[in-house]
Amino acid sequence: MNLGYYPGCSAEGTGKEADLSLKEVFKVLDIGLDELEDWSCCGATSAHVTSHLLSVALPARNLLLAQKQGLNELLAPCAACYSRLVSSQKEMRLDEKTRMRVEELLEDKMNTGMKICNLLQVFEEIGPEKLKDHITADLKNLKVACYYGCLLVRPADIALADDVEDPHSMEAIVEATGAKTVNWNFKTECCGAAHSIAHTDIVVKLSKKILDDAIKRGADVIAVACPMCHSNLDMRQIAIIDQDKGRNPIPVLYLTELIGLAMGIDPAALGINSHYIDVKPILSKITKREVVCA
Amino acid sequence: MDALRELAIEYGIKPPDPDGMAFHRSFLNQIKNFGRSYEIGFLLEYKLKTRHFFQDLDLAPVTLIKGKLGLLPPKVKGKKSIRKIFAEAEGGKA
Repeated sequence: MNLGYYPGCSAEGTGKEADLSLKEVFKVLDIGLDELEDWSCCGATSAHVTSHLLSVALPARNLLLAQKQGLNELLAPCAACYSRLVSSQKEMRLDEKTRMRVEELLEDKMNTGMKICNLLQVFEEIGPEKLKDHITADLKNLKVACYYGCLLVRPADIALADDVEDPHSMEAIVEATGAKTVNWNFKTECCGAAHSIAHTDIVVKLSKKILDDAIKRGADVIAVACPMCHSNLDMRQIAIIDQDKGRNPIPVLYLTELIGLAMGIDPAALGINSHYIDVKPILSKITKREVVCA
Repeated sequence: MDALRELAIEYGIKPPDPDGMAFHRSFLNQIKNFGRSYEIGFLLEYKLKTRHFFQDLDLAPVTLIKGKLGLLPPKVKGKKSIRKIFAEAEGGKA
């Protein structure tokens, strides 16, 4: 199995562990990644809040590159990139005038039928059984709060989640690793997203509510599938702890890091040393799986 | 909301949230110049625009040590097509 791969800008910087862990996990699953050649930014979030044309044309440039590269399916592991790529494609499919304007700009015809998928959809496609075949560690003592944030569930016709209000697709993937999931209230609440720089206070306030509920429900770790959410819950947790000195930190892992740990991959290779909140305390809850001989 | 914001920008209305607008302008300028997000360039431009020079400075050393900020700008070959998109979005100004 081979997939087209759109890493997105965060894979080269603040979310580099998402890229590292994805590549390690897919190596174990024997899934090849064909990185989109000469990809550019999709514009999220700044393009779509300032210019309709930028919001459609910047993702469209990448869709055209994927088309020229002969890719049939494109994985965008960043939830924001996924949302912008699918939104652009859908708009060009439904609005001929917009499509023609973009085609004129990019000097080529757009095929608006390419399959674009996010991380949850890819793991659903792989299936929990195949995942279970590669699990070598014992995660039964680890309790995980699965966090979807906004863009893995909204807008409903773009995210195509299993349930907009109470999704469970990430829980199914996490449970396939042997870890336990917690039932909590903030799995689809907003963390403040792109306001992290211009309005840090908003992000701190919103992210604190999410972290508080995860801790209250007994979670050891939060799993995410979006670099923006990860940055807010991990990096901004430092400010949250500074404001509330007695609180316990809670590590935030990318879904692919968690799966990688369950596969017995070296934590350093997954990039977990890049986190602001130390992940080591949860590693002691992950043990080698006992082999039962017949 | 996005459409109203776009109209306000087009008519030159002063943004009620100047820091938010500085964020978007600084981010998009990196895309226009380099094709992808150049985080150091973005942060410098944002700080110059807003004068928030000391914001998040405490996070800078650890972020650099952990390799989360690329020092060099990204290299995208197809910058011509990206600049064409921006020129059209900015009203045909090349």
